[in-house]
Amino acid sequence: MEAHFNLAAYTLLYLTVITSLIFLWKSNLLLKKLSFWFAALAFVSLTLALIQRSIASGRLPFATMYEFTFLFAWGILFFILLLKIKFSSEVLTAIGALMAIIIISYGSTLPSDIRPLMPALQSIWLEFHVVTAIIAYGAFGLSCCLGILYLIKEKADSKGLGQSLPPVTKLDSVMHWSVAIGFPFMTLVLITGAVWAEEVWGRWWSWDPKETWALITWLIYAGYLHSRKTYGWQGRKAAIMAIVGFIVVLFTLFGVSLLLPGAHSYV
Amino acid sequence: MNDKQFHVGPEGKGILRSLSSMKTGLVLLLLLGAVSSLGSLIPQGEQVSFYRAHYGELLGSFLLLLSFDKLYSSWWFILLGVIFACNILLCSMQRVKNVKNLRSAGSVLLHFSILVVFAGSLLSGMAGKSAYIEIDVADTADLSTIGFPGYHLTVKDFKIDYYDTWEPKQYTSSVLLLDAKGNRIVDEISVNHPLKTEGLTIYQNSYGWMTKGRIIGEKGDQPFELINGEELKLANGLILKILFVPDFDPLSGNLQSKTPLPNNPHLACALIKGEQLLDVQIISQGDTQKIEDVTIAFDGYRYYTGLEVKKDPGVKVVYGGFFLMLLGLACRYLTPPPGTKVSEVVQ
Ligand code: HEM
Repeated sequence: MEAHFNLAAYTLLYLTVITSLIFLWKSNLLLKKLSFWFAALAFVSLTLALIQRSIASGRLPFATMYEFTFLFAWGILFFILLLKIKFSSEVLTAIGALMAIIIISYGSTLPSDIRPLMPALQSIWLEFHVVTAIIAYGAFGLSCCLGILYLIKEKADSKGLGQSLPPVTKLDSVMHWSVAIGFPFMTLVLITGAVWAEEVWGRWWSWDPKETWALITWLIYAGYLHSRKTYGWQGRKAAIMAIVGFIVVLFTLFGVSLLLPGAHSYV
Repeated sequence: MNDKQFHVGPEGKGILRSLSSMKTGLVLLLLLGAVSSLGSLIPQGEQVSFYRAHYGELLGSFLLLLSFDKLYSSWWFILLGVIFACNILLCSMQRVKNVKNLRSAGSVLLHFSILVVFAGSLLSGMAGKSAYIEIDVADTADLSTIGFPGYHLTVKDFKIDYYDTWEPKQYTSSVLLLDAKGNRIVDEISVNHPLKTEGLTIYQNSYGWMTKGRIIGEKGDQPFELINGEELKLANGLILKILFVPDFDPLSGNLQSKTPLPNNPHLACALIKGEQLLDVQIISQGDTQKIEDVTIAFDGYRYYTGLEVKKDPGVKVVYGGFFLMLLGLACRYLTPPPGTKVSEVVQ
């Protein structure tokens, strides 16, 4: 069942990308509606897949890299859809859906067997730690998409893709809004992780590569928020920082697990 | 958004001025990030020879000279942290004067909490200590041997809970801790549930099997206790290597244990001379077997538990910092910006 829901989500995400692209080429109200509903249904399918997995394993799907990768895609889609409240953009929907497709494709290559919780993971901190990470990463994923939109809009204000986009100032302020949501949650990821590490390993901070890179991520977004005030880094520079920040997020999540061994590395 | 005015630079000139500027803070922030990343890319805490072999004579020596092998505890990394802390302190002090509402108070609190966490980690580094110890079930260890005088720890029992798949679910040590004043603490320690007393915290870290036997000789027996997988040096350059098989499968006869439970305990003994494997025998509990010229008795087995013992006054300070940080975050991000009408918030 879970596999069916995942496949449905995957297909719907492709349909989202295709309809958004056709809309950009030939704008049409029906296509606009379709692309939104495809994305919303993809989100629902992904939610059902995760619920199905929770039922099958008798616990929340928080315990393996496979599970966290799907949650990650879920979080990004959540924020992309949430932003519809602020403004609607087919380019944003397309980029967000594409991001989710890439993450899910990678997730599908990971071992998907349902495993019981090992002793280290049996802690209430698992829930707090993972939930805050999903929110922080979802918001950072959104700000990266907005950063890309910003650069597109800046390059081609009134032609091509740029035409359909809201003005740069609007993009910039929404990007700031999403970083300002992600940052406190990232702080919570670090705090819950530290308290957990103190309970399970007896060291609240041990410079394990995953911890170190989580701290670097945090420093970068702190830099984003501060440089806005000090240097007035809005717009282009802020957009580039949001994109770089998210690349570091991806490295923390996937790169560290693959390349840098540590206590966290099986995550 | 009238937060802007809180970030206006201080009056005056000189080092103090630049140390308290947010631009300096930003540079330090990114510098700390960059340096931290180096520590995750360069392996930490290896032997001196490793760095020379890996990075070449010149670069290797350079890395060692600047303590890149222990980057996070090197003097210059800590100095960088201290300068950063001073920067935050000076910045925050200026902003305290301008606190007008809950939101700006939250922001100042958030910055201040970083200092508390930093102070706590310095305290951990200076006054905290921790050590690992392995204790056999039914034994008592004097913790002064690992730097905690006055404490005696008895391991009364150790057990493992399994899932249906025989994957471990939880490890639990039942212990009795005696302190210098004669207080007795009886408790269970499992993963994620350390034993916390006033001064000490004890964590479940690992476990294993301990086996007991004898080498039988004409002039008397030589008893041994070996951790599973260990070796024992015998006379004439012979080495005895053992493997404990808790649930031996007589049908297959191989050394793979059927389950992790001690249903049919056997000891596999290999006799090695130099590089050469002379013979292997499998002995059941209570039995004696001859391997080449050596006679070995397998008498018994028990678990040992691996515990991490820690004393760290810094943790309380760090947790205090976390608490302030949460409070600061709540004030900063959960209160609406001044001048916002309720209707806008709802929207
Ligand atoms: C980028 C930030 C981080 C992410 C996305 C993240 C994610 C996760 C996830 C998904 C788990 C769940 C269990 C698993 O699959 O193993 C986990 C476990 C854990 N995390 Fe994090 N984490 C991050 C940062 C941290 C930090 C900074 C700390 C400590 C200071 C920390 C400490 C822990 C501990 C102690 C565990 C559980 C025990 C274990 O893995 O053995 N994490 N983390």
